[in-house]
Amino acid sequence: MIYFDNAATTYPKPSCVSLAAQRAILNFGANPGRAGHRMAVETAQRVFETRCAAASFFGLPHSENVIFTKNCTEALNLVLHGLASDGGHFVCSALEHNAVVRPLETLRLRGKADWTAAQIGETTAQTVENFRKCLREETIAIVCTGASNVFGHVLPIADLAALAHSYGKYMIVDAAQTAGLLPIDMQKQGIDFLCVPAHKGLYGIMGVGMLLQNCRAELEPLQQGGTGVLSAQLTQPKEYPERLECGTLNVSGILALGAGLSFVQKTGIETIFRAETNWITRIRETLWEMPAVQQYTPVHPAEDAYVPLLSFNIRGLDSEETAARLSEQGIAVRAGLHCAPLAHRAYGTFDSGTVRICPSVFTNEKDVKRLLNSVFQIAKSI
Amino acid sequence: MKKLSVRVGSVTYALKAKQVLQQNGILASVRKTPSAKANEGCGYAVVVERTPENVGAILQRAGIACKEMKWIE
Repeated sequence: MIYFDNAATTYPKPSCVSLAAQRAILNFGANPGRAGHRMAVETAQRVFETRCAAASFFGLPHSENVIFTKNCTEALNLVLHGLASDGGHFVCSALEHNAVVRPLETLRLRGKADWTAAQIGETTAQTVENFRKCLREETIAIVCTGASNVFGHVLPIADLAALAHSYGKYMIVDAAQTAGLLPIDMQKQGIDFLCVPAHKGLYGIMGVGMLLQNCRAELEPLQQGGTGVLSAQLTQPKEYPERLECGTLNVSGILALGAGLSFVQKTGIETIFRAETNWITRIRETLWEMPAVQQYTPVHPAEDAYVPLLSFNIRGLDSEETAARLSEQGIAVRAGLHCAPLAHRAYGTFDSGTVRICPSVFTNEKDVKRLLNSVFQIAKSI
Repeated sequence: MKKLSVRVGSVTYALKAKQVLQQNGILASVRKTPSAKANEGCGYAVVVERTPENVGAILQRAGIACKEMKWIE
């Protein structure tokens, strides 16, 4: 199989990641932060080291403010529900994934907090102004994707964070498509809450995400339960990360994430971005030469304006049908709405959906040639 | 030999305390609190074998709250 569905989850994983997960199962099988025996403490030590590595990777000074979750969606739910207060309001972008929009809409339907989606402008200044116009006195936070999971459009996070802070609001970032691809420094960029999946650009495995917090807010936990400390109390402890991390952690997933972080650091974010951007540029340019193929982003965009993924359609063919035909030829892509109806509405592709192509650091020349040839053959057959 | 047990808020803080102390040249280990207060239940401590007087100050500078410091055998 030739895999171009890396925006959903990267595949394959680096061998160091598989090995770390295996080692965790074999050698660190105790429950961290529960018992006091040697393996429990050693397992907790490895989890702590991953916490420190993640904090360092994202420019967060306090490792205890790295909260492990089961995925990026849970991290977003944790911060949105945790911050929401009666009569509150959030501003998001018009490119958000349902991981942001559905919690916001749930809060609205419960009468807890309202939300507004800001349109993306032609320039950074226009985008920031659009967000500014959406802010209200009762706005709690701006919550924004680092880049669209459908079209790759990068949002001006540092500028939006500056805007949020100038009005005394929090800045929450959904880094599902940017962690491991674009440099993220929470302190330098002014990010208060960063939500990250392990299994995409960080090359970890599925089942782990993180919420990183760089402000003093005390989030209300989404769930309550065992934390291994203050067990006599019937209420959640106040101290992070245990306050927000009840129940047993996914140790193999967390240690695999540690290996993924190390892999990305050793390879270099810039190297990964450059390699994937070269492939996507070649794919984009070749697809532009096929009259039957419709694309939605510029053929030669500014280099930092998009992460390396693209959406397209073959005229006269449903996006799901295109993906099915590619699958028959052994090529894995994702079609439809990609859990991002707002983004498809913004780009006018809500009715058709799109076919999304996303390379990874493991994509090679042969993969790209096979993909392009297959799209050409399908387009020719219509 | 007597050891100093410093009880902190969680296993994460105990591991952080161990890390901070080791960065300051002080060997430390993490233990489950041997006799947690009845009204609190389980907890974790960092145990220091040779006890320099500045343990508390080092932990405080690192933002680690010490819930209890006591000598153990």
